[in-house]
Amino acid sequence: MGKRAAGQSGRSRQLALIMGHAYKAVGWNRQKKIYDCTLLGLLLLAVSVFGTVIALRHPATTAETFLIRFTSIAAFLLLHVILAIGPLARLDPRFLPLLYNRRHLGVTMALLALVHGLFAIVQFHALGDRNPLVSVFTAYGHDYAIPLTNFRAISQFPFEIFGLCALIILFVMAATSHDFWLRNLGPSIWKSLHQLAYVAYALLLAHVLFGALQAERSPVYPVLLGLGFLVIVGPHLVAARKEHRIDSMRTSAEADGYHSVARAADLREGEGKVVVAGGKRYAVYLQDGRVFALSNACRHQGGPVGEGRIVHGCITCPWHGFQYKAEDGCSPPPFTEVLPTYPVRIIEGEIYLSPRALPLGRKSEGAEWPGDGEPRKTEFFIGWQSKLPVGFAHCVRAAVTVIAVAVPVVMAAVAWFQHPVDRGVFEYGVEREFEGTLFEHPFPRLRIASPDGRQVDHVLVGAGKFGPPPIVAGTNGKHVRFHGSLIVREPLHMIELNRPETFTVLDRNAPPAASPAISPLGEGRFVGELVDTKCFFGVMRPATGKAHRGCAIRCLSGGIPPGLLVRDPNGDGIVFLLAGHEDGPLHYDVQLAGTLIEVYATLELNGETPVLRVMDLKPR
Amino acid sequence: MTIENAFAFLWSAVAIYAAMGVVFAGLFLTRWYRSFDPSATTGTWGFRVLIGPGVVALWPLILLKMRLINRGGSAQGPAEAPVSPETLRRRHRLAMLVVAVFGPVLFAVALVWRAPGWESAPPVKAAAAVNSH
Repeated sequence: MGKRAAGQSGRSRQLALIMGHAYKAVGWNRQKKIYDCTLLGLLLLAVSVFGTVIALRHPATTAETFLIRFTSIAAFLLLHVILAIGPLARLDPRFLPLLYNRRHLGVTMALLALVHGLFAIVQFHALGDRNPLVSVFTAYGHDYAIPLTNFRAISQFPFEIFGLCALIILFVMAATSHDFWLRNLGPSIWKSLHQLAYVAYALLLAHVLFGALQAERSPVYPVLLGLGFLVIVGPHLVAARKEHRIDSMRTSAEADGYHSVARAADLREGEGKVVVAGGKRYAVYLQDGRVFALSNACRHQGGPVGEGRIVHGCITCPWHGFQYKAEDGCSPPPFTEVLPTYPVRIIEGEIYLSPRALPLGRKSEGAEWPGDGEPRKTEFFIGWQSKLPVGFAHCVRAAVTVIAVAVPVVMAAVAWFQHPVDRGVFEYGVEREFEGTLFEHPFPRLRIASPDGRQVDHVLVGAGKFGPPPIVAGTNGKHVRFHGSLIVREPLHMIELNRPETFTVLDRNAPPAASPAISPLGEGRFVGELVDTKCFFGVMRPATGKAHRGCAIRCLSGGIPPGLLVRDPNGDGIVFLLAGHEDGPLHYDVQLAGTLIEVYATLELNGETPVLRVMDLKPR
Repeated sequence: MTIENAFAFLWSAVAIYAAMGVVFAGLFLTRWYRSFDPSATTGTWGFRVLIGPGVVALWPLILLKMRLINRGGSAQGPAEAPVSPETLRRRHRLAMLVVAVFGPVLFAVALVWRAPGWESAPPVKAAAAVNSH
């Protein structure tokens, strides 16, 4: 609180916080505290419901996946509420208390989106062979041309780019949400900037449609997304129609430039009225038996001054409670905002207004009102007053109840109908010592004798999104020992060789052991999804589908052995590792990762590992 | 120049811009803010922390305004300019009409040509042999 505000009355102090001559982080008042507590309560409700359903239905979900999914859904839900509040408040002023502190909703939503974006970039693009921020844009290469080259494959269009663009918009909006920016950017630029919320919504719609909805098969998702679309677009179109009707009102000017704008009898003492003259809106007020006309655009955010009331002798904007004196348009001292005022006259009960503004701040006599002023009895909401009027309170309670019911229902539905999370175990952070015989072909793997006497192959990969480290080269058939972490998706095993410095060849001078037996199972065409085996064996959940595609591209590009995920006759998924035909190199485009491909190959059991020796590989 | 080099260059430029923004924000939020906006003179620390990300993002704009102030102008000039609600309303209406029209088109395109998953692939009989093994 600034020095000038220190000795002011309670009302002035509240006004000082919003009418800007001493900035604070947040100009707290009772309404804002209630607003933020409600928001926090709803977020806690959402995370509890989402977490409970995920724990019961998809217990294999990792913490990162939970965080990425919860923050995205919560942020997108919040964006729906944020965008729906505006038109609802235009249609019914009793929704204004929801609009009053909307910027806190916006900042919360942007923070949730930021967490989602950062975790998604780290999870799917970091620890690979490219800068993760570069990978987000470039992993998909030629897929950006899909709308031009192969429209039927449009679903493969990279969805991350939409989300990233939306995130940039949301960040700038959140960063400039303080009144400091409103004042220093100017209301016009500030409002224009914040209207980009609609662009962000369109981008996020595309992000979800081309991302999550390509992976999730339940019809619940498109239905929920469609309902959300209607919740936003419906009230906007109705409100736009109402506003358009007002803007279309035609008035004819008299010879001296005055427009007939309203009947004097329509005015009520202390209540504003919005009138139109020459296609522009003005606020007309009746105060102490005189009629005054002012600009309808509040200096704060362009709020409709004419929809306000006279409170404590001042015209009060319904949006954030900015105040002006009717006779000169000036805010009460110490505030400096000034609204343009306009000449008015009343002839035979008709109010006439001249759109030519009086000199800024000059006192106007107004026009004498020919009737008896009836004090206004309807309710009026101002955010800085401690209690909501009864009618407003009922409406807000009903709206919050609807949201409080909708949030858990949506969260539970989204969590419940999720595609089953890929299984598998990654002993992240657990280091074990492994000892066995290393075979380099067709991909590096370690044969370890299990306690029951079987020989179990463990495919070797490196840390992060990399294939096995170079140190394993030239050790084919050797007995080796090293430290690493186990990855298991029964019956498949893998070791992350994340400590190459522990790699020791135990029998360097002994002759190499014989390669595992190969059992050919046949030759033919196989259709399935190209996956990176490290994620599929258990590092990532999900490890398949479009949401994971960026990660799969990075893993394959980093040297992780590729696999083909096919459907067995029971409908279950089984993965075959891919290798070149007759020990030749395997040539393929890593950008096919996460998509259906068709291979012509020989299937063999190499030891216990199913391997496809690929002769031909092409997109499906 | 490959597309990867182009984006690597772009991100380097963004990183340099952000680093300059951080340095600028450090100076602005400790020294220069007082002369920039009189209302900020008695602003709290919380307020300064809150506007920090915006200063980092929009530092060239603030720098331009500071130059304007040094030449005798006012940083709050645009704040005195009236909002044009008619323009904002028109833009608002247009944005919503675009969303209302293109939203269903997006839905249709994304769902009609939905990416097939591995579950939709024909079953592989040989997988049974692998499973039984």
